[in-house]
Amino acid sequence: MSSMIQQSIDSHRYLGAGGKLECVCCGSGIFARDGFCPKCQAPVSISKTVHQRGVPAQFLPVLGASNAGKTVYLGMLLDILTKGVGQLQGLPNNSLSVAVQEQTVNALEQQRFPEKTPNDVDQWKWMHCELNLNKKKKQFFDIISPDFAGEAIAYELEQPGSFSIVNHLVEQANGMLLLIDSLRVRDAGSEEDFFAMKVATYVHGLRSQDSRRNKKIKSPLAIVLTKTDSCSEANDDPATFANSNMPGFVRFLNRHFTTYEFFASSVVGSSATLVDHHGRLQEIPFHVAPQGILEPIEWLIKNV
Amino acid sequence: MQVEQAIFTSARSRSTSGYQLTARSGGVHDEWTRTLVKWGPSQGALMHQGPTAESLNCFPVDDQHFAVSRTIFGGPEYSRRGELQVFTRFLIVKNPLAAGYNHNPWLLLRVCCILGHLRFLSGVETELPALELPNQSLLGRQSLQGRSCQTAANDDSISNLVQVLQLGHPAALVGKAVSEQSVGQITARLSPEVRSRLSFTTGLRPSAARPFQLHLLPNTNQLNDRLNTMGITQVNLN
Repeated sequence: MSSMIQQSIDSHRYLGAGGKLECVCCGSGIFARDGFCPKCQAPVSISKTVHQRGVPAQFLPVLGASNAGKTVYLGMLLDILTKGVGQLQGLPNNSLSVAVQEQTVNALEQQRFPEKTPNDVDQWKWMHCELNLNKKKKQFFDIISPDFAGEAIAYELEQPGSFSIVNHLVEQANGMLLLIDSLRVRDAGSEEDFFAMKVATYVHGLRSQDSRRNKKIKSPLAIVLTKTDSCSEANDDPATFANSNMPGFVRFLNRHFTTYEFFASSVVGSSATLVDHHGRLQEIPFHVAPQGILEPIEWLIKNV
Repeated sequence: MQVEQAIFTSARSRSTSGYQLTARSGGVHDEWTRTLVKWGPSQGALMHQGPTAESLNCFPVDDQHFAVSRTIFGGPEYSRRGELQVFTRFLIVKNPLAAGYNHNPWLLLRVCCILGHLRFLSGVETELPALELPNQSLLGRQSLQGRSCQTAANDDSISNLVQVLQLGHPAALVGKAVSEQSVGQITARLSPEVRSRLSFTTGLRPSAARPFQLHLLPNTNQLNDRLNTMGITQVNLN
């Protein structure tokens, strides 16, 4: 397309759209009318809402391997927050958040788990939620996190820059959650230990650039062992479980992070595996009994 | 001519889980791997959800090569969510395309399908052999154009779409009558220079991660915003 035509199109969009914004994820210039940031593909609606609210965004990215339980965790978290519990009350800030909650709740009500998150960044759902801490009436947080595809995180760890949105969010994160499948930790050898170490190394590499050499990362990291309804060892004592089964990861944390904590969480009370005539295996959740969903967030808020 | 190949699907391997290149031939280097992963369709990428859904695709891999691929549903997806894996088999071909294919990647794609080079493979080793393709097409040019447009209105639609593509703008052909044959009709009318570098998909959902120049869509339900954001011109086929 010729540059003159492109300029004309850009001008029309600028004039018709109410102006230019800055993407809250990567800082690129975006038009309010655009659907997604052309650089990092974060939804423009997130940036618009943040700018309109005038409240600094608190990024709490939820990281984890494929099938660690990120979608279910985020959906249940939003569902619990919107209903309000204890000192916390959450309100979704835009329709993207509602979509996360809706996807998870609808799936669980139909006794199935949500569909696998696609790799395409522009297909991800996002959590953008205002958290009101009743104790301090004037203090509230705007929490933002995409529902990452696990593969995107894995590729970014292997080839930094392949999914730049992971980089942008981890760099400016006020705290982070790392979800780890407790069943895989228990049953699948050292794979989860290696993946967790890769994530921790990646985070350390990004966050320590501005720090003095060998200085520990201060940003809090909540490590959430998921699916602990089926792994009682992790449920009873997540820190000891991690120390015994993921020694490399724990050693790295001790060496490079000042503030981290292990948590156990689960969403379903019990489940079974169904096999159909095509050979498809499907986990069926029998009932929803969330445990340990809020505690990591409460801890992060306290330490941010 | 020798072509490299690779498979992109969801699996659990030693190093990673989920959508990845599960197999490749020896000539697929890291640069191509990154590009194939970027273009690789994952869960929800196929427009149609039936078990026989299929998409034929073509896109540039680098300045000197392009990939043709076929995306279908494979076996059960490993993560026990009751879904079928999305399976894609890529063949990587050197540009410019041999004159024996009339500079038409659609012609090459049809030949690859007929020869069985894009069919589903299960339980494959991680290393695949490079493949040999004939230097000339096995098909006559007439058979690739398919049936002519049945109405003057459809003929106009195809002509309009061709004009958009000739200008280098992305476009989508939309309508119930849209079929894979439409690609043959479109490529037959493009200049050889534009045709040889055309990227297209017959059945993948539009996504910023896969900037195809030509999409075939049965309808634009819930896609209008995305198409507008991506700057894709919609041309309706009646």
